[in-house]
Amino acid sequence: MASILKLDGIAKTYVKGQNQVRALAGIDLDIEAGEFLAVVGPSGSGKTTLLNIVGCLDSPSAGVVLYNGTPLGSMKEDQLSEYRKKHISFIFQSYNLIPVLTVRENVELPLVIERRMNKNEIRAKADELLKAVGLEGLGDRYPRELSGGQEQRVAIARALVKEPYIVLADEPTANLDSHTAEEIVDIMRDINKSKGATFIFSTHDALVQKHARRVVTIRDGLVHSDERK
Amino acid sequence: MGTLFKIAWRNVWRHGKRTALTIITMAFGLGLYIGMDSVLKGMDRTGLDNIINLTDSSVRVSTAAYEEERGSFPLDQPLPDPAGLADFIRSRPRVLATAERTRFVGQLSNGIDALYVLAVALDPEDDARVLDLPQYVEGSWLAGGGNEIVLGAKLAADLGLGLGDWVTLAARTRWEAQNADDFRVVGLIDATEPSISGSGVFVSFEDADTLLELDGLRTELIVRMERRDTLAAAMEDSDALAAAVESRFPEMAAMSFGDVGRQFLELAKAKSKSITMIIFVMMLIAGVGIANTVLMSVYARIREVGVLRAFGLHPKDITRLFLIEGGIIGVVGAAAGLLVGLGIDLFFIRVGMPLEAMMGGIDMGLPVGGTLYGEWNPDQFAVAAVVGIVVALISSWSPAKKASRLEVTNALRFV
Ligand SMILES: Nc1ncnc2c1ncn2[C@@H]1O[C@H](COP(=O)(O)OP(=O)(O)O)[C@@H](O)[C@H]1O
Ligand SMILES: [Mg+2]
Repeated sequence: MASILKLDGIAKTYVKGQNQVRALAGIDLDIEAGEFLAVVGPSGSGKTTLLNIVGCLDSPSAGVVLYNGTPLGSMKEDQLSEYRKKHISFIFQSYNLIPVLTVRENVELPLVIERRMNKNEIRAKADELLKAVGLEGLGDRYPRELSGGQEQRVAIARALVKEPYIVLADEPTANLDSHTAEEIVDIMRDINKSKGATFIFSTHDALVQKHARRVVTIRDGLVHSDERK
Repeated sequence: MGTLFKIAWRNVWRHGKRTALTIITMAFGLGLYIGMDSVLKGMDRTGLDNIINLTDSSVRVSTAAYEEERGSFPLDQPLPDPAGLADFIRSRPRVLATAERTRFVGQLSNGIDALYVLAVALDPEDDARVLDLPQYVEGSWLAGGGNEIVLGAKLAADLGLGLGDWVTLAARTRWEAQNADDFRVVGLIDATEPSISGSGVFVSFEDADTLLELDGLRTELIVRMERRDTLAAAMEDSDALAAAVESRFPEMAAMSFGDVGRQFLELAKAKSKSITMIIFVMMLIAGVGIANTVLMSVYARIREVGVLRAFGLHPKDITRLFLIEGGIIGVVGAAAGLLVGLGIDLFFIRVGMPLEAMMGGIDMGLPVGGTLYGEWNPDQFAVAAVVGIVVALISSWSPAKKASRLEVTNALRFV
């Protein structure tokens, strides 16, 4: 299978005043379409940095990311926004739902930003996703009325609604109890199977890690091990 | 985009108190601007009407020498041929009537206190055709002769005089002899021109001829012209007549309403400038309030900005989002301001402000007396609306730009 993402010598050094922090020291990675991949490693090992670079939220100090053969580094702000709008979705550790929007409006947001579908299509799609994450009927609630697990399900629905090719999830279960965490990973895995979206998520939770099809361990900014199951 | 507006709208009302305070500041500032403008316009109109209808008429003619010494109201500079002058003026276009007057300095006494006054001797019938004084008289206007006197209401009150009381008016005659006579107060006059109520003293020529040995001496001619709809046209008419008089009678000085009116408007303009300054300061405060509100909004939602960017919103859309927030405050604030302005306008136009009662007789140097009325000023409503919205957009520009320049990764990490 052709790789959807190819990371070639990705390095990132943060400069803060006099100090330089080497977050990534040269990562090579081939990721195929439809993978369900966990990036694991201790805190500070560079997981977030790696995901941000793949999501084009941050740019590497060295190396290239090829997306379907196209180098992401050469893109301008307009193209970057387009790339994030159409191809990539994010799930965050702290959910990051928009508090003034209802659950349904939150899920609709990526489609509204994308401007591809009409109002009815968008609404139908959002309800379909809410059902898929088990939140049918909660569309009119506001995020503050939900539990953490429910909020993260909304975030998953929001990430999946536009049917992205790649879903990036930075420690999606870190704020949840282990039971809820497993549920969330199960939902992600189901959608990964049914929709074929490529999932890349970081975690330092062994329980979550065991659901992954491929586990990439990074340590000190380098790939320490890369196991497929 | 509808969703951007939705997010902006709901966030604006999420911090209700802060937003309300900003909106109130803006509404107050804009409303005050509209209201003050209405009052100033009303004051201008009343002031200008006073000049034409109560004090100076459309054109006031005296000799050039008299005009030079006007402050002392001399009796040695008579009009050489008042009748010929009046005939000429009445032959000019748009002239309705003329009246002769002689002003003099006198001393008014109630037997205990005496006050120096600037008195006017006039022909009661002719004068009523040129000026509107009789309309403002309580009691009756002069009948001509019979030692009657009409006094400004406030002047009379200062001297403790009422209708039917007797006063002594002393003055130097035309030949510099001291003379005095007793007059019965038949009318008290309280017009919208403060100087009339405060110091007006009117007697008829019949009585003044005896008191001042006038022997037909007239120092001034005043003229009523047709009422014109616009101020500019009225000024033009007066200017034209004054010019005609001066070219026909070179030794005469004709004061046009145009000259007086323009002076008056200059003064009024200075006043409206200070109002504009006040409004400017209030808008500055409102602007700072909006800038602050939007900036707080940006700081409170840094992570949200990161999320929106991660989902593909362009930095321009982020700018737009916060501009919309400022704009909402501006539009609501401006709308509230128009309502406040409408309220103030309605009050001043329908009810008016009774100046005397409010100031307790203190002289504020206002050009009008009695009840002060406002004028409709629809153009100022438009100005206020535009100013409010523009101020809001300008003030939210910098925080909105700040939000759009946030680094996505930093924004997402922000707690
Ligand atoms: N914006 C930044 N500025 C400076 N140092 C940073 C920044 N972001 C991350 N780092 C540093 O880079 C290293 C890797 O961070 P991160 O990618 O967040 O690791 P992880 O997600 O695995 O905990 C850490 O040492 C962290 O302190
Ligand atoms: Mg991390």
